[in-house]
Amino acid sequence: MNYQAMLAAILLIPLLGALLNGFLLRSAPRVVTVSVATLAIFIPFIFSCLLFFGPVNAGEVVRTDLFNWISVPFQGGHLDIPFALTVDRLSAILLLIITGVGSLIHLYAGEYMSHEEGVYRFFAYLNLFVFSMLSLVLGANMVVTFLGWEGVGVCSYLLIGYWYSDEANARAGMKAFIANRVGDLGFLLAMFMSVKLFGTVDYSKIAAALTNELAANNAPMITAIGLCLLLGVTGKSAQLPLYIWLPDAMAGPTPVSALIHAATMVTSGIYLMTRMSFLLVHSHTAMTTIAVIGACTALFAATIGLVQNDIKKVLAYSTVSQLGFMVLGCGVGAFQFGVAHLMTHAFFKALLFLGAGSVIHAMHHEQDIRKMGGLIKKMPITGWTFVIGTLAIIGFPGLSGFFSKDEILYNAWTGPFGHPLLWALGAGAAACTSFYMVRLTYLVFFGESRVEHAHGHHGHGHDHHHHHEIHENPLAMTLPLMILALLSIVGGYVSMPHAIMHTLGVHANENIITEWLSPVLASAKEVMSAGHGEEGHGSASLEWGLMGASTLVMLIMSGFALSLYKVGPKGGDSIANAVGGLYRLILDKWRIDELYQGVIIEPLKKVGDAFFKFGDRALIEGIINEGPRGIYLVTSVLSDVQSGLVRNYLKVVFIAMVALCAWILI
Amino acid sequence: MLTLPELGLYFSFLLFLVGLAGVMFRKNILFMMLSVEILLNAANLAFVCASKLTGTMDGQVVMFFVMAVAACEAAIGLALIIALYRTKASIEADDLKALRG
Repeated sequence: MNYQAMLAAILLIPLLGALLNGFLLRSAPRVVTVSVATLAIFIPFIFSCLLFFGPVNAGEVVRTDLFNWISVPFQGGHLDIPFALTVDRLSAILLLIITGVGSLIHLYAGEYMSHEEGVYRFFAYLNLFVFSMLSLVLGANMVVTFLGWEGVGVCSYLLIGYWYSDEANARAGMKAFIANRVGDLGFLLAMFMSVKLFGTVDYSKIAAALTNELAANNAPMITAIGLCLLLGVTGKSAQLPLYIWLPDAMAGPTPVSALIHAATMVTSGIYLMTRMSFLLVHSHTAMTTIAVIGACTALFAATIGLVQNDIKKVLAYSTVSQLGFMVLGCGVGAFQFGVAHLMTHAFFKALLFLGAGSVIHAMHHEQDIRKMGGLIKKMPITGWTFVIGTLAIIGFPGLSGFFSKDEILYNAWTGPFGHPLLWALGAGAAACTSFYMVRLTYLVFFGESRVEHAHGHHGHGHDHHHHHEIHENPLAMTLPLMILALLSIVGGYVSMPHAIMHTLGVHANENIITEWLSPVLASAKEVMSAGHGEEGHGSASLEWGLMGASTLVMLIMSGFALSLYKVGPKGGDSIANAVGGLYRLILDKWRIDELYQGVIIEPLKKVGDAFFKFGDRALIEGIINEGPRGIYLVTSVLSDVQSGLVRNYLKVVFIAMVALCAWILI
Repeated sequence: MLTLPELGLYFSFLLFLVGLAGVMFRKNILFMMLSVEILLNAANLAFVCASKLTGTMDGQVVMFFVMAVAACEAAIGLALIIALYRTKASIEADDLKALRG
């Protein structure tokens, strides 16, 4: 099997799985559905590994044109957009994450959804999602990527609203879809402008066409493309100001949250920025805006995470915050560390979400951390893997999050577009991360168990469920946890800081991820070093200092959280009472949703109402209803002539006859 | 002094008016039928008189056709009236205005 065919198979097998589960195997037994779905992701994973360690490792770019998709006359010539797939070193990383973490999550979901009826729908959507995500990262041009970009949005909508009989879930799905649409507009505009400027949407052709002269002559256009791409990124990757959909997206089943809203879909913005890095770096404005938005999102979402009580909501805001880190990394010019953090985040956040799902599954859909506690004794595997995930995300030295986050923070200070202020925002976000993650882990898994207490005033009708002893979940759920925990520990070594590398005596100029992505980022690097000299490299002492500072902050905040919540969830009340108003403001998520409701949605509704009243009701319905009514009024006079009475007709005949006779005679 | 055929023509005109008035102002379909018969006979009388006046046989031949048609018309018309009465329980012409516009 050659590599081109393998590439096509990677894309098409998940689609096949979705079609099988969605149409042919609707009434198949659960085990068939789950096996088909999981295999449809696992086989592409094997192919991805073959590609990754084969041609991609050797530095080749595998490309296959499936068919000529769009062909239109354009500026005298022809604009041909083939349905082309390509895998280079960047998409290969994404490929491994999507199919690898994807198979683990499919395996897990088979068990997690074991109490549900009609899971074929769930797995068909999930496979369709993977297909869309793969076409997003494998697309050789912006249009194929856009197909995937829209596809993941649709699948996200379908899966968030999977339990659609509850209206809140359906609304959350719509919210996600609409917020994403706003971002998609940005992507579309960026695509149109690329066609205008370069006459092509193929990434490699754009890269070849974008010379320094062209960039200098079309600076406003380049900036506009960059900012439009950023709008797309804020939608898909849940950045300010469009992040609002992601926390609500937690209404979907937890494996969905792990796969779509932590590991893959939400990171597509980072992928896109890295893919277009050669263009973005030409615009100082765009890069700075990206960095500022990333840093602000990281801190902003982290503050909301501090006070949430729903286990999945904490993780959701944490995801927004970590995505902010990745965007910050891209914005300061350290695209490779954005990707590295994307990868480590995919590991530890998928782990945390699956761990949360394991807890929720064992607790029969209880998500309030105030009603948990002490679970580590009952669920040791879930508990300890969750602890590993927590240590990884807060950046405990030696675990994956430490390396990737530290490299981003270091570059936020010293990178080509970096600034100490950006570092400060990021460090603040990291401090908040340590606090809320330790709070979450401690309240769920340690301390006194508050589970029994919860029964008393939690009087659901189906309480007999709660009396079952809480116990560890089967291997299908814990195996993915263990694998992800292992990856969360070792995944970070690809982005080891220089200072540590030199201390350890590793003789390499760059760490693994930088080396690996250097072909993808070569032109971006060239532009950045031309514009900024060699200031991209700070000193080793600064690197050690920043590393030490963030470790210290992490330890202090973790210790602070531990000391506060040692006594249980009420431990934070004294601080909450001291800053009452602020606490309630953060608990209400800074009331951003209410702000959007008042400033955007309500006025839009009013405009819509006005259009409805004057456009729809008065104009369109006026023409459609009043026109025929006028015709009716005229014709009803005429139709009265046709009385239906024979004698009247006869009178007419008589009069006509007399008139005829008179006319003939006279 | 009018000859007999001429007198017959005038009479047929009067007879036609009587029939026409009957069709136009009667509301009972049965009487309207009878009036139609009067109209046909007025026409017959006119044909015969005209035949006598012109000295040809054409008018008299047509008269036989008209009589045959009138017989058919009476049979079909009466059958329709009976069918109508069975469904509508009425033979008033004014009750039958389903074709009103």
